[in-house]
Formats: sequence, structure tokens, C-alpha cells
Amino acid sequence: MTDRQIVRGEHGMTRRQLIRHSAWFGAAVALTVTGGEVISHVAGDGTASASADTGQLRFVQVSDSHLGFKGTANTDVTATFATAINQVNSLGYEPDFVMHTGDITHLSAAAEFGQAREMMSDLRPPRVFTVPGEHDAINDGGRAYRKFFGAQTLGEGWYSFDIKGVHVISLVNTTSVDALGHLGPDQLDFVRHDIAGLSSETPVILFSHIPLFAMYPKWGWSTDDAVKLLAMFRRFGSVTCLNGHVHQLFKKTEGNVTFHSAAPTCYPLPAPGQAPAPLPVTLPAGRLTAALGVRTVSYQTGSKTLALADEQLT
Amino acid sequence: MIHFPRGGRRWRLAVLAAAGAMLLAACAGPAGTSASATISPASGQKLAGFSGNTGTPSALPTARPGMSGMPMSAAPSAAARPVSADAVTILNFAFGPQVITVKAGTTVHWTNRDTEAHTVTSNTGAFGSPVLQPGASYSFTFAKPGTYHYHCSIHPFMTGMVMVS
Repeated sequence: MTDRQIVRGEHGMTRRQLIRHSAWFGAAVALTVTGGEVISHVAGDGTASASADTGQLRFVQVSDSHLGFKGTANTDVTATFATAINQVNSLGYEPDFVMHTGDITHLSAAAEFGQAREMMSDLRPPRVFTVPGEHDAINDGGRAYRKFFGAQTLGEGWYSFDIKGVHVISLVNTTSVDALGHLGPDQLDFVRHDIAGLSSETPVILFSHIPLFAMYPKWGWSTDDAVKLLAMFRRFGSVTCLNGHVHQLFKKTEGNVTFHSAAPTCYPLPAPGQAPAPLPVTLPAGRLTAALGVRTVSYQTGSKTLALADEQLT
Repeated sequence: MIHFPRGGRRWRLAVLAAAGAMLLAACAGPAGTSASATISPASGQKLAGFSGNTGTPSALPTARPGMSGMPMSAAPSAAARPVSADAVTILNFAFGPQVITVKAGTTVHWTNRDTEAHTVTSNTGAFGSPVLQPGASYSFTFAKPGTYHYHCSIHPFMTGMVMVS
């Protein structure tokens, strides 16, 4: 097989057409859990290809929109967020839900929240969920965020639900941040009770804004009491943590837990330690959207596989 | 990110084919039925989130923002050596001086000389500014001796300290 050879998919699209059409910058990777070990492999080989199956959970993660940001790194965050929403609405199928993993706004201003709520009401998937970022909880412990996005949530905005055999927990680790993210004892108690009756066979997805792993504590890219949280999940076969905050793709596996950081819709931040501080990166003209993206995730009921695909904004 | 092994052309194509299979199914597949009914709040909870706009085609703008091409600004690596001062400047995503010493009863002034908004937020809640837009100032009088750590709640990696004697 050579690069010139045409690889034609089941719908007759060539590889080159596919590249033009999709502009993938990650890849479809299946995460299979076997005996507690998470193994990455290429998706589509019988594990993740049944994407039209009605039993399959499919959802979208969008993150870090920073509505209200003004700066050279992105001179129109509204436009890039609108592009992301449009891209979700143009997937060609209806995801079960969309999750925004925080920093919806830049300064927690009511006008920013109002704009975000209005824009997100255009998302076509039937349910839209959010978790707050620290930019959504400036100086008020998240009260303004909860006014716009916290209906039916508990505590400072956490909640959980079940869908197609998967248990989903949305966490808040941004309302009492000093240097690192923080969950707090009340939220840890909530999780303890929430999963008490849950079978260890149930795949679990944890959403948070700040990473639940020590991605780069020097820049605050960690959660100081995440170890207590994750200790509660040792008995589970499949735990996937999806976060925002770091404005770049990143993946890490620790035992039975896999962590994935998402691309933003606003502007990139430097890779860990590759700059003096995690300041917005201004890219050369025309290169911004390649650093932004939306993530689609699928899970086939009855299997132990999650498939993630990160797609650039187009 | 996937890092392809050197010489792994066959594998690269396999990845593309796999991605393609997923994408094509995604692009060409039938629209699913409403998923709201499949989401069940956990015991004792009501369903969070809000409904999407399932019936209306999107007419959102897709305009590309024009980019300046300016290089990224860099924050100085702040030296943590205590400085006797009652004024702190916020510049390049850093408090400077990062650590100051004052006598009890001193009023400390912070001024945001940055192009971004910031806050001055005590780690213990002892004091805290509103959002300081560029050019805005905040003052706090330290009545009691002690060590007061603070940060910017918008950019928590920005930290400072006031040592009151």
C-alpha cells in the first residue's frame, strides 16, 4: 500500500476527499479496557465502526470559549464559538448531548453568560450540559454561572446522570481555586454517595474544567484533592476524565483512568513549560482555527470502548 | 495527539481509514431520534442542563477572525525576594513585586497595567478586589501582622504575597 493508493470508505469517499472534508488532527482512537488496563488502538476495526447503532452513546465536548475575551490571540471569540456550534450542528447525526467543559465566559459577566446561553440554545443536540471554569466563577463562587447554567444542579453546580449504560458525573473544581483546582469535601461526599450503588462494570465519565491529573501544577493545571476522588474509582473497569482549561489536546493514562484534555474554541495556550507563563498564544494569520476544535465521543452499549475524535474548527 | 512511528505508512493509512469509517458514518448516517428520554438523572436528582434547539437549522456565522500575527507576550519570571513597598503593579500576567513587606496599618495599592483584566484575591478570603480592568486600581489596608497570600482568580497561576510586620 502506498500513499498514492486510494483508500475508499464505505460511502465512496477517497482518502484525499476525506482529508479535505474533515481536517482531522487527532485520530479516531478506541480505548479498550481489559483487566483494568486501558489500551489504545485504532478505531474502526469492529469496535467503534458501528456508529449508526441506536444503542451507541455519542456526545460532543466543547470547551474554553471565553466569551468577552479581547486580545490578539483571538479578536473575535464570538465568531469562533459560533463556528464550533455550527460544526456540532453539522455533524450529520444527532449526538445525545453536548458538554461544555467550562470557561464559557472570560470574566463571569452577566452579559457574557447571557450571550453564551443564547448562542448555546442554538445547539441542535437534545441536551446541553456545562461545567464551570474558573473564568465562570470570578469573585462569586460561581453564583452568576449557576443562575444561567446551574438549574437542577447540586452544591456548587455538580450533578450526575446515566445514559445508555454509562454513568456521567459533572464536577466543579473551579469555585475555590487558589493555585490549583479544588473539589472540596462536600463534592467528594456527593460522589461517594453517587457511585455507592453503581456496578464496577459501569463505564464512568468524569467531566471537569481543570484537569484531574497533574498535567502541570506549576501553572495550576492540576486539582489538589483529585487523588481522593480517583481513589473512589479504583474498583471500576473504565473511567474516563474529560477536561478543558489547558486549551490543547493532551492524553494520559493512570491505571484504570484515562484523562483527555480538550481543544478550546477561543485561543491556544503554550504546551506545559514551553513558555514563562500560560498566556494566550497569538498565532500567525490564518492558523488560529487549526488550534481550535470540537471533540466527538462515542460508546457502544455493552462494550468497554470509548472512541474519541478531535476535529479542528473549519 | 497521535505520534506516528517512523516508516509507519501502512499504519498511517489504517488510522485514516479508521477515522474515515467513523467520519463517513457520522456524515452520512441518519439523524438519530431524540436522546433526551435516554438521559436519566441519578437517584434523587433532577435533570441538569437545558434543551438543545433540535428542530431549527443553524444559521450561525462562520466568519474567520483576522489574526494579527503578533508574537506571544511573555510574563517575567517573578523573583520571590521580599521587597519593602506599598504598591504592586500587575503587568504581563504577574504581580510585581511578587512579595512585599509592609508595617501593620499600611494601605497597599495594586494597579493593573496589563492589557487583560485581573483580580487581587486573598487565598483565605481576607481581602479581594473586583475584576480590575486595564488601568484600574485596588487598595487594602493590612491592620494585623501576618503573611497574606493572594492570587488572581482569573489566572490562578498569578500569585503574590504581602508580609505584614
